[in-house]
Amino acid sequence: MVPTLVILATILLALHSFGEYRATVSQLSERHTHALMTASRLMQQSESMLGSGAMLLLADDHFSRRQALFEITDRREWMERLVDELAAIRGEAGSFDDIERVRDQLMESFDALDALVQRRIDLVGQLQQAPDETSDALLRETERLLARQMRTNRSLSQDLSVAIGYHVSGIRLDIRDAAEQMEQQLRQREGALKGFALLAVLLLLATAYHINRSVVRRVVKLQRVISRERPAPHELRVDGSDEIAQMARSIQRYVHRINDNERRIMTMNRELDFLATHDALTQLRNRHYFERELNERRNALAAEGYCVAMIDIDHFKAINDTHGHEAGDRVIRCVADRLRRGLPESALLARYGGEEFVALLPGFDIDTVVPMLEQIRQGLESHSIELGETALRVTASFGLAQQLPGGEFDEALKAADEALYRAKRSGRNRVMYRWLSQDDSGDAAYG
Amino acid sequence: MGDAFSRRLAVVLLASLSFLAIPGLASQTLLRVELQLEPPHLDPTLTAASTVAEALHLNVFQGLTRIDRHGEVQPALATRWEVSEDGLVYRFALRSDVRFHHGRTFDSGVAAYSLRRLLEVENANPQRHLFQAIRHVEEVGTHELRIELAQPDALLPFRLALSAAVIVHPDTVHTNRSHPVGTGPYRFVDWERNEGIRLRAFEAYWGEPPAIREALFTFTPNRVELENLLSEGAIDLYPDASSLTAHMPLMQRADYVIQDGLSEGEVLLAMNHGRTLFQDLRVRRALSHAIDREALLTIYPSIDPPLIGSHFSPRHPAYVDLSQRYPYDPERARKLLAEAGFSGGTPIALTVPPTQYAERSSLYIASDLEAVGFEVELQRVSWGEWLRQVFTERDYDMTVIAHVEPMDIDIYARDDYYFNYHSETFRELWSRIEAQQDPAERHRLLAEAQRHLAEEAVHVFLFLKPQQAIRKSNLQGVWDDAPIPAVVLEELYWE
Repeated sequence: MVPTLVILATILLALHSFGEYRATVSQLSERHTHALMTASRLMQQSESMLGSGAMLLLADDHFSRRQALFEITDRREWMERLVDELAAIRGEAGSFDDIERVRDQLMESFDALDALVQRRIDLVGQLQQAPDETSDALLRETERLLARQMRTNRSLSQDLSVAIGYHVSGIRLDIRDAAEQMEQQLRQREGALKGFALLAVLLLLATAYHINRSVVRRVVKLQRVISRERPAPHELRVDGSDEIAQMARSIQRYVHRINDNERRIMTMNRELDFLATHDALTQLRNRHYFERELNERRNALAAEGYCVAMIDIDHFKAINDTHGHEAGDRVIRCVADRLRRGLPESALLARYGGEEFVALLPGFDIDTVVPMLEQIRQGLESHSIELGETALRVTASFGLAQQLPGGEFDEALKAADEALYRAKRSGRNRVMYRWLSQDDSGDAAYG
Repeated sequence: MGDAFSRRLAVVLLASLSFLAIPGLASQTLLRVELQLEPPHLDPTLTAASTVAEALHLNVFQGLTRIDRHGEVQPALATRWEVSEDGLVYRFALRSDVRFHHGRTFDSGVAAYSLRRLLEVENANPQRHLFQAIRHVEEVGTHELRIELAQPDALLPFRLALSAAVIVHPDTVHTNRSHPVGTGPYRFVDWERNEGIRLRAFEAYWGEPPAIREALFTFTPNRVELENLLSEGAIDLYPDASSLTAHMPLMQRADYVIQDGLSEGEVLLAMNHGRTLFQDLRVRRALSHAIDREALLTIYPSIDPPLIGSHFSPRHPAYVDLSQRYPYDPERARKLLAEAGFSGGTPIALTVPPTQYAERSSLYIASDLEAVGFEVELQRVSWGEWLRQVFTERDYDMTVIAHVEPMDIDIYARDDYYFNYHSETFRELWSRIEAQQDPAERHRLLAEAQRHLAEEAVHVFLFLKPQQAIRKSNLQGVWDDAPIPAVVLEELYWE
């Protein structure tokens, strides 16, 4: 707003200056040209009067005399008006008495000259018709008077030129003064104009800087933050209360909302993922996960060696039937818990079926695993599970097998399952495993 | 801030630049026309001074019809007209889109008012006599005028095109003398003595807007001053440069062009028939023989205007060449004067109006008159003085004057005219001419009228006034001839 006003003010000042300049120039040119023209016309007429006087002097008939007289009268009439005009232009600047006095004397002199010329023409006419001495003498006298009158005329014309010259010089001085005055005014105005222009430029620069600071930089910062893949809301903070700050706050709110939604989706994804790979009751891995994991780790397992154990809760159906599903679930959870605590961290433990669990123990051999399983079995056996008022004693059977030479995991699993089956058949609540014999060909030796 | 603002800034700067450029432009649009004779006032319906018509007719004022540059009648405020078979009724259809400069509209009421005013004796219209045939003027609706005549007048459309028949509005008839208001393409701005009459293009003009937007008519009777102004290039157009002494040097200048042309002006050495001296036919005939009209033409260095022997234009079809009726013969003149009882030394005053042709002719005339025994006093007067002393008060012996109105031989039938010429024969002849409808017969009667004036040697009929306009070489559209006294600004333009 302010720069616009300053620019407008500068333009107005410039226009005003131009207007004044134009007015002054036109006034100068009009008034002074007029004055100068008037003075020079006057000068020219006063000089031309001499020529008209000569014409009058040379007139040898009345035609030429009248012609010269017409011209003299015209010049006189115009000179009178020119003097009036000059007086009106110059005003107080000078006295015109001199011009008027000399002019009047000159006109009287012309009248006298005309009378003499007229007499001469008439005398010459008379002499041509009838020469006589008196007329002849009179003619000579007239000629003498004419010569004298011409001298007077000439001197008066010169006087008139000098008197007019005085005013011409005055006009020239007036013009010089006016030009100087105008130049001074112009210089002042030029200075003011330059000042205004400088101020306008400074204000423009300040405005540009301000706009850069308050708008461009903030917008660029905002844009940079937004264009990141994951903008942080705190980075989107913009100070102030203008539109940019409001816009930034809106963006901030959107980013917040987007981040919240994303978090919620991630959690849901994690939950879904957990549900897809875990057993909801025991929080152990489920069979699907176990098999997928085995598939992925097949090569590593083959190289590293492993044991695999199958665990089944004894008489679970009876527990379920007697104490209900909730009690059954509680038992499954307790067994799972025992297994989790009893097996090493690296073991992959999963609920395999209703009351059946499977555990893969990579890098372990049977000698290490059997005591672990035995400890778990004993732990189960020795601790009863509280079911309301009753305490339930729960046992489990364990089937264990290790990697079979050249055999696939499925075969080891099958061997573990067979070992479990044998444990069940052998009275339950025990750990059965298949020893790996020297010439293991599939027929197992069990311990 | 960016583009829109810079554009606006550019517009402002451009506007201011063009604003600054105007003075240069203005000097080219102001046209200065010099007319020499300062008008007595500005109402052409109230004066015979043709300078009023020259400045204002067709510029400020318009009639129902107008005369074009070829002397033909054209429509103006009337678009067309019809005349009844018996020649006694004219019907003029009027334009409906015309406004006066003071905003009032033009209609049949205004037109009828204007013509009725023309006919009223007390309004002293200088050309009222030309319209005496009109018996009745009647409005028909708002834009038609019906004019009923007492006797047929085939020249009515021509007469209505003359400056004295321009249409004026009743609101302004009393102020038109100082502030003329008409319907023309230019409106009056101001008139200051010694400064001139300023006209400016009228924005609401019904016709095409004129190319010249502003004009200044100046009046410089002083030959020395006039020639000086011309040589300074201060004058753009001066319609009457024929007899300037600086004529030849001005012809050589590249910035000026002198056009050859003739006016309808008969230049007369007019005599006051009220003076006893001129009541003697022998004296009048002696005067006609005394003037060497051929020698007089030397005042025109570059044109040879036709000599005349009566008050009639050689351009009119009814013209009879009587220019040699009184050949230059000073001996015969002296003899005639002697017969009439005048010997040498008879004093005679020649009143000279401030026109170039009159001033320069008067020198020759004075010498010629002195050569046959008169003692001549040249009285140079201003135009105002001439109008008052000669034209109105009829206090003069002789004068040199051009009668520029076309077809104005009827002035010799007027008792109230400044010639003081009273001829029953001529009056009777003129009424026959006016009543005559047959063109051939009319021409025969006009020839008779010309012969009558020549035989009577009513004046010394000198020559048809040339109209050599001097104009700036880039000023176009100036009329070559002057069939009527008018400077038609509307048709001028700068090249």
